[in-house]
Amino acid sequence: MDLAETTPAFYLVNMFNPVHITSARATCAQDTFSNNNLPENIKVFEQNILNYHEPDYRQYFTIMQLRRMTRIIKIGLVTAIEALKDAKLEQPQAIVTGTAKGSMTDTEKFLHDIVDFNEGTLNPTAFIQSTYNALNGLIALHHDANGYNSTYVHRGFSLENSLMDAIMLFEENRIENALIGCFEEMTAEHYELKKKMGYWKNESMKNIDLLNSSTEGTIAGEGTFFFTLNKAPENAIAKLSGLRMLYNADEALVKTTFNNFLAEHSLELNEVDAVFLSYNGNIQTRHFEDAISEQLSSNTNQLAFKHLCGEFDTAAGFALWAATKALQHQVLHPSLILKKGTSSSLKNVIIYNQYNGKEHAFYLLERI
Amino acid sequence: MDDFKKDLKLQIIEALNLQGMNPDDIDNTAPLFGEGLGLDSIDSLELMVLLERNYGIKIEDAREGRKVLESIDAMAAYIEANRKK
Repeated sequence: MDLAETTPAFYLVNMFNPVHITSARATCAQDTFSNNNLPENIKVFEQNILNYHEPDYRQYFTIMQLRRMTRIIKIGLVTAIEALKDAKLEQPQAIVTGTAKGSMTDTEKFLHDIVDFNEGTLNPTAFIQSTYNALNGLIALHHDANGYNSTYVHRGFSLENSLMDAIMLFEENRIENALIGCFEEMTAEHYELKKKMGYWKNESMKNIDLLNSSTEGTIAGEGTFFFTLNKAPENAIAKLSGLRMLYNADEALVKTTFNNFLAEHSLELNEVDAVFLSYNGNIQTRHFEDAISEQLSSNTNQLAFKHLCGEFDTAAGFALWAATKALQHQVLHPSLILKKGTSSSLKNVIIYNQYNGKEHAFYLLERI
Repeated sequence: MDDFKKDLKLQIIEALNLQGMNPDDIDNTAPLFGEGLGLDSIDSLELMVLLERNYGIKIEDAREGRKVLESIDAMAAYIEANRKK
């Protein structure tokens, strides 16, 4: 039985002292890695999978190091390395990540080997890297970071739980800084499995046409995002002031929660300068985003992002990265804009993300 | 035997993903671990898997394993003497 059928709607009220974001890095389908920004020309995909624009790994690792790393491990490690470099942080006091699936390539290889070799002797490398916390371990080894280290595997709430864990560590005065992030990859086999479950569109659709779609399903994506957080405001580029998770809600509750979220942070609707909405072209779930969108003031810039990175469990990471960059540079990339608002500066930015109509998350980010 | 050693080296290069290497880069007498080829403990497990899958050889004793995986020469000799397929 589907968990959603037996679990009533619930939400977590998360009031905390703001945490300061000192760096943000993204690797995804767009070339966001080279310049740590969205490129001038957005990449157009003809098929329904938005695969990574992969960095050049050779400047980071030797051939002997690279040989054992699969795709998501390499991507995760270089993204984390750059986030730490940007923040001039050599050894984070905590490394907390979220992933729904971890390294799918290694997981599939290991499971296939179990069948092919009749549960006999199996390759250790695929097994080691198929574990969700393999990336965290490698980041810690690479930076000689012996502090707190944890990976959350909570489907569409994986990133949010990693953030909440780091925030609680700050609240308890256990750390002064942290590296947090999320990572996801899509394989051909996993795509096919989810296609059978009705996740993806039956027809081929260009990502740039996604937001105008009127059919069921969405397009697949993958992405890795890392952020450094600081308790103190020094060198911050934005701050995270609010985070709320809401599970298994209908659109009325989503709407109420959004309004409560604003009230808790003493914000009026016209004080919200931009909202990232998780429109993904799925006609079955767009009523959630519509419930937020229709009440926004004309002041608010309405933004979309899943046509750029595709859909995956931790796609909110893309919005968190894009919101941080927007607050840092006070610029909204034209490809994000769904409906332009009258607000010309960015102070309060909200992210609303829903995954598969079940996991809903609200973030509040503020300018420094 | 030389052809067999070359085949074995190709299998090792593939199993351990030794990118950019070819059989001539691996000395038959040099240690596979430590200062020779520079392999590590996870590689030794991968080589055990290779021996079992490709030759039907199962090494239960760790001390015996260390001797078998000492060099290409040692591996080749052990396989020739104990292979089941």
